[in-house]
Amino acid sequence: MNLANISDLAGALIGFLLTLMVFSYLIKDNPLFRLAIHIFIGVSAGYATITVFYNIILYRLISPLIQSPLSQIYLVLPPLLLGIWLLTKASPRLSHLGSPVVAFMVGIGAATAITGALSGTLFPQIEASINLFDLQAARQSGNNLAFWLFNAMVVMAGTITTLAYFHFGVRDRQESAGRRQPWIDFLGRIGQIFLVVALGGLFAGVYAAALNALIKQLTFIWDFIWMMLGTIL
Amino acid sequence: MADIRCQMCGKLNPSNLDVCQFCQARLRPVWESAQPEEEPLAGSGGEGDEIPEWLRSLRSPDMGAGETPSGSGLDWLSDVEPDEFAADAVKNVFDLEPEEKLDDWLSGAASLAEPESPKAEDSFDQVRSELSFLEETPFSSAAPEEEETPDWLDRFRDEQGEETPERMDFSPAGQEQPSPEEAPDWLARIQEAQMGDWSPPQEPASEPESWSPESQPEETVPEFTPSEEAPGWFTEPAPASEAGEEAFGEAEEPDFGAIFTPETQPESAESQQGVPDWLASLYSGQEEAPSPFMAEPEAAEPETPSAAEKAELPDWLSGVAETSAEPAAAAGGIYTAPLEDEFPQTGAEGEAAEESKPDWLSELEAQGASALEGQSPPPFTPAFDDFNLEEFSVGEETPDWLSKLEASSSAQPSEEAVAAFLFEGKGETPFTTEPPGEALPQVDAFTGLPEWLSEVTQAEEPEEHPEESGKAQALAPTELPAWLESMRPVEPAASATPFKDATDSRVERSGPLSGLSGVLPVGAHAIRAGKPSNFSIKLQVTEELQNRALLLQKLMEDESKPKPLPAPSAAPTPYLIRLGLFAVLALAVFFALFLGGGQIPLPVGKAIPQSLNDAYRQITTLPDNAAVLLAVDYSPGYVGEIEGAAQAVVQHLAGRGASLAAISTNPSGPALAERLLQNIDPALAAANQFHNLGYLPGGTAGLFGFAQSPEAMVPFDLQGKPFWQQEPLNPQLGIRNFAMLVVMTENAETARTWIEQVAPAMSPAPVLMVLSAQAEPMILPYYQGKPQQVSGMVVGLAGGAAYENLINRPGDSSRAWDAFSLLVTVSLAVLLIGSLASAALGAITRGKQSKVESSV
Repeated sequence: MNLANISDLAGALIGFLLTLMVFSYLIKDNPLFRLAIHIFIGVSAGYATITVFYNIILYRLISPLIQSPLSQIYLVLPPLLLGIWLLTKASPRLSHLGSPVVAFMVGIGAATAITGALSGTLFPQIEASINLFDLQAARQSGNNLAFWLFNAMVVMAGTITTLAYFHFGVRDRQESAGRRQPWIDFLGRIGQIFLVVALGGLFAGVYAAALNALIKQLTFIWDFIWMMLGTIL
Repeated sequence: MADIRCQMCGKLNPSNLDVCQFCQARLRPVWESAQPEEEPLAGSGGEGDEIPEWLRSLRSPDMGAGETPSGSGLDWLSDVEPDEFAADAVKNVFDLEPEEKLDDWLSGAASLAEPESPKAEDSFDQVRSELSFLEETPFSSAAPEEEETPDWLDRFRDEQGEETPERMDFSPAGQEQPSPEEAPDWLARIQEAQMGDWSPPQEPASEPESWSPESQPEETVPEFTPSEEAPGWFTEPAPASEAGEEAFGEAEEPDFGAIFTPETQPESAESQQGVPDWLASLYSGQEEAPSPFMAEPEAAEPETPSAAEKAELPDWLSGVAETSAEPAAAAGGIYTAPLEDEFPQTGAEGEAAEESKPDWLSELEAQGASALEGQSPPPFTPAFDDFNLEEFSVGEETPDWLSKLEASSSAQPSEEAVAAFLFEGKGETPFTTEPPGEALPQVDAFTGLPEWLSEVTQAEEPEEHPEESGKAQALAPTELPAWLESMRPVEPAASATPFKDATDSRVERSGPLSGLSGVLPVGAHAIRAGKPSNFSIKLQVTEELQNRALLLQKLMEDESKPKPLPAPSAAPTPYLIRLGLFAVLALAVFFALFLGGGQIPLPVGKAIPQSLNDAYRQITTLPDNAAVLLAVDYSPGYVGEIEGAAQAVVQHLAGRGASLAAISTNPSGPALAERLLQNIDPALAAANQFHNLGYLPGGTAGLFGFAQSPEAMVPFDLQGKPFWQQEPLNPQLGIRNFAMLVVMTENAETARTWIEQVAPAMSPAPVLMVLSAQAEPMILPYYQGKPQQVSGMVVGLAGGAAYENLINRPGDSSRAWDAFSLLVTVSLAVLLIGSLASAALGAITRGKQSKVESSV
């Protein structure tokens, strides 16, 4: 940490105080913690606003509108109008004008997401699940064939049982009202085990990230204290 | 006053009631109850000669002495004016002259013999004269007449040897009534009515509500006083007999048995104390007496009174008795019995009665005879066609008096019978059920029993009456003249028998229609071969539904139950636990920092994950001066975890001489990119080796657009320089200008979006991931799958430390590796200890609960 500049010192000091204020939550909820939270949210929102305005509105709307020739203004007008119409959503009386814009945005986003999910995740993952049973690739990789197959079986079992766990369709019968079919229920219970393991792994990652954040802040505090002490001393 | 016995149910009711309090039947006729209860007439007992108001009302002011009063209770009597009868002949009947009428009718009644076929000439007069007693008799409130009474009536009184009034005063107040215990029931009722319960119907306009004999004008009313010839039954109590106590049926039959039984019938008029001769004679030889209740008129042939009986009847009455032989039923419910049947008298009495016959009666007889000459009375129709005494009577046995009464009454309806009452309009009689327009009922009061009495039929001889009535009503066929016969309308010949379908000769052999032919056949298909299935209507409730219902019920019950306060736990509060854990972790970090790091070896060799080695290899094999796109999409909160790995990768890329272009879909990404550049080498920016493209809006769509047209999406960098015209980029290539994509994010969704939207457009450029430990499980399939969508991953602080070790550039990750390792160890220890403690505490708690439940 280089505290040569006052700005850096001020920044460090503010950071140190904010860190302590956040750590004060260990005791209980207190105004210092809330102040720190509010500052964080405010700063984040402000910075995001400035970034969006600077990077988009100013450079991609206003500046082209001013600097572009008249023959190219038509390229800027549609975004301008759509943006103005989108702002009408804030008014209950004029919100109907922004509905087409919102619909346009939602439609494009949905289409993009769906196509990406299909082509980028679903199909490749299905192909990858099938390719797990590619014995030639297993031999080429030099891995143990038995282990390779076992791994493949486990992966496929986990995939099927996890999908069965999320199957909530039931038959419309009086004797089995509200109940799934027995075999689906059995597979779902196995998939529940895989889900538990996966969620455990995710939790471990989250905990590890939290530990890293703790280490980072404690290290910051340690460094700041030692710096201050070094500076003072 | 004595109670009144209901004729329907036989129960005693107070005398002041008009309707039975038990069965709601009327206790007295309607006209009796129309008048309020009045004081006994002052004329009773010989006191006062005033005519009661009702009687005066019968005679309107405009009427003369000989006119028939209108508006009286017996107005219907005066209204009867059949065509066959002259009105004048009847009018005088109701020409009340008290001094004469009572005596006359009574004397005439006493001379009545058994019912006989009445003469048409004088039968009507006789009937009317007989029925005139209804206005003046015990049912009337006529003042007793002090003048002469029939001898037979007086005779009755004398024979009894009791203190009888000089005159039989049948007015309600004028008569000396025998004691209720002694008198027959019917007589007792009559007496009670006389005493004030009954009063004749009066004209509403003229009649005062309260009537007293004293207030009445001095209008004499025929007063009936029993003479020495008065029948004994008038003055002496009825002999105690079972029949006498019966009014109708076993318990309701009137007490006529005491009077009319042959045993009680006196042998002579003088010796007859209880039953008048004329009445007793009804049972002596007349066994075909008509019943007032019979359905049809009696078919008994009219009988003429015997000579001996004729000798007993007064002359005026005997003549009527000969001519009137109609049964009581033939009178249509009206009293048709001849007066001689009611008041049979011996020869002496008859003579006395004949002598005492009032002039008006004689006049009536003469007028009636003249009016009836050549006239035939209308056919007789009974009033109660459907009535049968057997249905009405309570008991099975008919009382003796009734049977004898029927036996003595042999009067049959005759075509020559004369109606006792003339009506204004046909059918307008209160006692007949004959519909208007039909023939008037014939009433014969002189030749037969009273209507109500003559209709009492014998229970054991019901079959005779229909036959007799049929015979009586059967008309003798007559011969029509030829010309008249030819005019007879020819009626279409109706088939006597119904048409029978002979096509189907099948006869039904079973079922309710057995024996019938032409029944629709029942096919085999109509008969069910099997029993229909039973469908339970019971609600089908499965076990799961029951459990859910019980659960819901329990929830509802728990809502009302107060929840017990949780017991304070013996364990330390979470506050202390939280502080303790922080303290432990913080100490571990400070300890590691205090030690300066390097205490714990960095991951090397097989400890480095394969994904990290692949990432290192990809960067190592990157062409020189290649353009690399950096996606800085991690949030500021994950700087401590990702920034170390990111710095290591960027340093490696920078060492490879790659041209770096940072872009972010996060608004704080450009700032983090700048921080990253400053931490690595600030000179990179000056060397035009690092470009910050800023913020890319639109999320997934923005990435798609950037992948399709990056120059259009991001034409300038943050310094405002056109990026795509700079070397080594080729504006024509677009996104393909980049040889590698490095995505740095803590969010798995962001990483997937980059993989789905941008990586296909940059293919076959490798995609490296610098991820947080929480996103690794979600992105690992992209690395492990075939085809491989992610070439390498650097995950978390451990990956950063390992990558720094690979590139041999220690950084923040290497420094934090000791603290991280120590914290992970401490965390594992705390988790294990906590799990064991929680399990132990849970087991202890469950044990205690089970003990409590078992003890309960």
